[in-house]
Amino acid sequence: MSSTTSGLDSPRQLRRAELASRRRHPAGREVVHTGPLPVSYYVIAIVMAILVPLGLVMVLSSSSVTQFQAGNSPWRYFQRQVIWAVAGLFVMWVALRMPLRRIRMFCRSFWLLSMGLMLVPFVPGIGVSVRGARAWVGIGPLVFQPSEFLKLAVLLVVADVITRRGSRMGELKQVMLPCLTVIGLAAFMMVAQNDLGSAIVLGSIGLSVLFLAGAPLLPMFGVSAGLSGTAVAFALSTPYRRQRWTSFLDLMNSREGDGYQTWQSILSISNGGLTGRGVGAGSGKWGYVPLAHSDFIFAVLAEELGFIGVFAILGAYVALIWAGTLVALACKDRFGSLVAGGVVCWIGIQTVINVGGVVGLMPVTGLTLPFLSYGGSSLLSMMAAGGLLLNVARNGR
Amino acid sequence: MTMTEGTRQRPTLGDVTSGTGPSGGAPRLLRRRSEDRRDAHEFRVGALRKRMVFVLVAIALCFAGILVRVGMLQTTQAKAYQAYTVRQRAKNETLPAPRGQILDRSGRPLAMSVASKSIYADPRAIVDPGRTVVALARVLGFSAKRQKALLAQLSVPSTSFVYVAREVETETALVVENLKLPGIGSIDETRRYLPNAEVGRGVIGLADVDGHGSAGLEKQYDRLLTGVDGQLRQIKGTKGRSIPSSRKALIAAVPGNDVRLTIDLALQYQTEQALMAKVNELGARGASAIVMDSRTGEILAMASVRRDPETDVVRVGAGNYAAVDSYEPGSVAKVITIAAALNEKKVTAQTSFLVPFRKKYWDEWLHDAEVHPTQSLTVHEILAKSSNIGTIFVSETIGPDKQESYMRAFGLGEPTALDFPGEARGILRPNAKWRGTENVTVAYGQGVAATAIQLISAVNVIANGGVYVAPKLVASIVSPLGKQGDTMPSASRRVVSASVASQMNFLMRDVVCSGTAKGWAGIKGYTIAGKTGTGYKAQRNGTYFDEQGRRAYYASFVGFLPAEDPKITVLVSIDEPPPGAAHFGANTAAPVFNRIARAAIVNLGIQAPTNASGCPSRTSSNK
Repeated sequence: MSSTTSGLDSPRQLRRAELASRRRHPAGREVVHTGPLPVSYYVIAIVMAILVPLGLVMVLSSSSVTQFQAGNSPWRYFQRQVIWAVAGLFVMWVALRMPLRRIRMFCRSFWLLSMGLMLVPFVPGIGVSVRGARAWVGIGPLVFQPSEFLKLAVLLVVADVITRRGSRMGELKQVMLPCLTVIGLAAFMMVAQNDLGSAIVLGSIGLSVLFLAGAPLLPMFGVSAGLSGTAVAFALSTPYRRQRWTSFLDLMNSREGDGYQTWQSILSISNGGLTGRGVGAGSGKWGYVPLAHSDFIFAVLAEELGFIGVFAILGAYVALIWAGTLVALACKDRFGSLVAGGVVCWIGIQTVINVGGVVGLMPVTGLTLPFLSYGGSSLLSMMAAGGLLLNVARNGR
Repeated sequence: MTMTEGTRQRPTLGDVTSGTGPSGGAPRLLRRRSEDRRDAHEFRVGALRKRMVFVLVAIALCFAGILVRVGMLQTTQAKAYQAYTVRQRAKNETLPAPRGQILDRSGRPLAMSVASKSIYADPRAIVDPGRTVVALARVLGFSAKRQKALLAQLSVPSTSFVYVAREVETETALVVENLKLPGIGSIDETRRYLPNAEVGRGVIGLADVDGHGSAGLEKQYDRLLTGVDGQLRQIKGTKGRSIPSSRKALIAAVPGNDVRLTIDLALQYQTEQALMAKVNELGARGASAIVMDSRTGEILAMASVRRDPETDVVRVGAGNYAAVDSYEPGSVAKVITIAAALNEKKVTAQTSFLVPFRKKYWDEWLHDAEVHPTQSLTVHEILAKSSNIGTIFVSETIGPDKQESYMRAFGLGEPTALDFPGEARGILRPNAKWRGTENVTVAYGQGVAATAIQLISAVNVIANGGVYVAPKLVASIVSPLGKQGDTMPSASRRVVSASVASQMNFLMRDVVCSGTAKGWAGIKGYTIAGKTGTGYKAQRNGTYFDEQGRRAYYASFVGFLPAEDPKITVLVSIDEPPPGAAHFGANTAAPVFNRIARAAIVNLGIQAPTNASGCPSRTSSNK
């Protein structure tokens, strides 16, 4: 009887439906939709198939010199990133094949696990600090950043909550409050790790999903203003933070100090010119641009591939976002639609904040460039998100 | 109220159709549900689409902004930022120009630059200064004192660069590098190297560790030997490595010119060996010798040896004393006085004077070297026997003005055209300032001082038929491309007539055959003309005696051969032969002349003319 009701309100009900589905289909799979896949599916797949290998090449180009000079193998970071990319392919396949209902079942456990992992960087001996942010876990050669997984988890949980209580969107207590709590807890953990950049991206993703889901505008505006105000206040709270977050406004005077990274990055970008120096031939990665292989990989890309390359890469991101939007709009499943929209916002916002910082339009926040930057957990969660996008494109018709 | 009630009770269609509820209830409930669904549907296709488009537009605007920014950075603003990039990342590197070589007259290298390494230390990077110094000292052979000094230098952690050893062999540097000591490294340098060890080093001079000439010809021709450093401008990483694919700007270094000397390496060596042997044999202080081409003034060998006062070892002098030091030449100057009197036609070779053993001038007894009764001596005999009193009589026939002007014409009193660094001008005061006996002793070479190079050039006037030819040391300048530019022939001027020179030539042959140098200088088959000289060295106290009342001598022999057609002129001077039997020019310098002349005959292939007279037969009858 319950199957005829409009909503599946609780995990218990979801699980029951899932079990019923398994009984009907012994293989344990949902009925795969037949018919041709939408164009957006292929667009997303092709863009990812271009960006991930390009990222591997650029990680090699941007890290080999500094690694070699540090006495390591020039292939060190490339090899690690390749391993992560292979793992990413697996995760992507899982995210692509898993029925959306089952994802909804798992998302709370995933969220709890991610929140738990957020505590691990504080464990002495395992936690790793990079540039003041204690956001990494390092166990031998395995280094990862739990906040990257948490972004995905929060996105899924928020989408799930909204889907279940979507009809009561107007009631702040029913939808906004639990969603904001989930977002707020996660953001709090990130700020506690002194990783304001991740917190900003996370907040933006969460609020975007709420916004897309049709949350009433006035409270949305209030919450956004409040959170932005808090973030700005935090960024300006101490002279050290103030300098760090405002140095991009006056690079000429801060280029020897807080603006050094951005200044070096801009020099490298302009050195690329229209056609670039050629892959491998940049000068910024020779110790001038800090973190050239991760946060500032866009500077290396711009120097080596030139404006033409930058245009193509930004075009690829736009194509991905455009296709993702089509997927979100075409999806008949509300959860799938919100997840697709959230992933689109995630990729878009993180790319804008990362590149904006690298080109000196925004403060540097310490975020990776989706699909391209060195960083295992980042690549893994981005590929999982890409898999979800493909999943929605495939199954949400 | 009703709505919550309705949803909680979840009424079914059956409930509605049974009509148990209030009449208006069922349609209202139905409407609510359908409205709910419609709302949800409208939200999906309407609100989501609108808001999705809103988000898409916002992101697209951000992307557009970024694209514009990057576009400006990479096109319109690129030049300005690239200038900053170049200023920061382009590094200039000086490419040192190789210093030119110094060659002998046949092109054999006398001085060249070879690759070497300098060991340096970066005290900031040194882990254990004590053990580092010990390890370095073992390889580089440092003394305990040097080790202590180095340890003190390396223990200052604020310094970043200390030379440990400069210009060591590349092999030694390799050993040091293989020690892999932290903070110790090596840099490429060039080292000035004399392939023939000490041969000619006084003339060649020195180039300092930075490759600048500091003495001798290295200093004199520094500008020609020094090349123009090149420059390599390239983009480098923070660790100083050049970025392989970056653009480079290269200005190649232009090597210095080679300087080809008139010196003959073999003759130079043999001259030095002859001098060292004699100085060792006699126990003298030092010696100098010059071999000059009689016609061109080219110097074929120019050697100075000196006894090290501390170690008592005789070595090739570090300085070119033959040009730098001047001494009173003694009797060799009689050649000038007598040639002058002959040229002024005041005397002939046969003019005779009644010459006493000694004579008093200005309350001072002047005398000849050997006691003899007052006798009549011709000018010929005065020269051959080297009579001081006789020379005074000859000089008196022309007077002090002519005496001085002829000495100047023979090149005394001013530096030669060599212009060697530190070259002395000698001493030849205007005759009005001659004091006391100086007025007459100048005629036989006391009271006047000359360098060896002045003296040989003066006597060479006779060898060269009465024409003074300036000495020269540099034959040509060889450009880096191998183009030779010969130097100008030496300036020359007539000093005495050819016939006077010829007469003097004959008179000087008798010095060797029957005069003071008889039996010391002669070489069988060759006619040799020459003159001995034994000068007193002026002491610091202004007299010719030192504190112990001893004289110090400066014994010389200058001669040329073959006398019929002189090819080479040779001067040998022995500095301070110990007083005793062998302190005269004849028995100290003339044998060395003999040895050098023999070497020159072999080396240069000098042949005696077919009509060579050797010594006239009457000298043999005199024996």
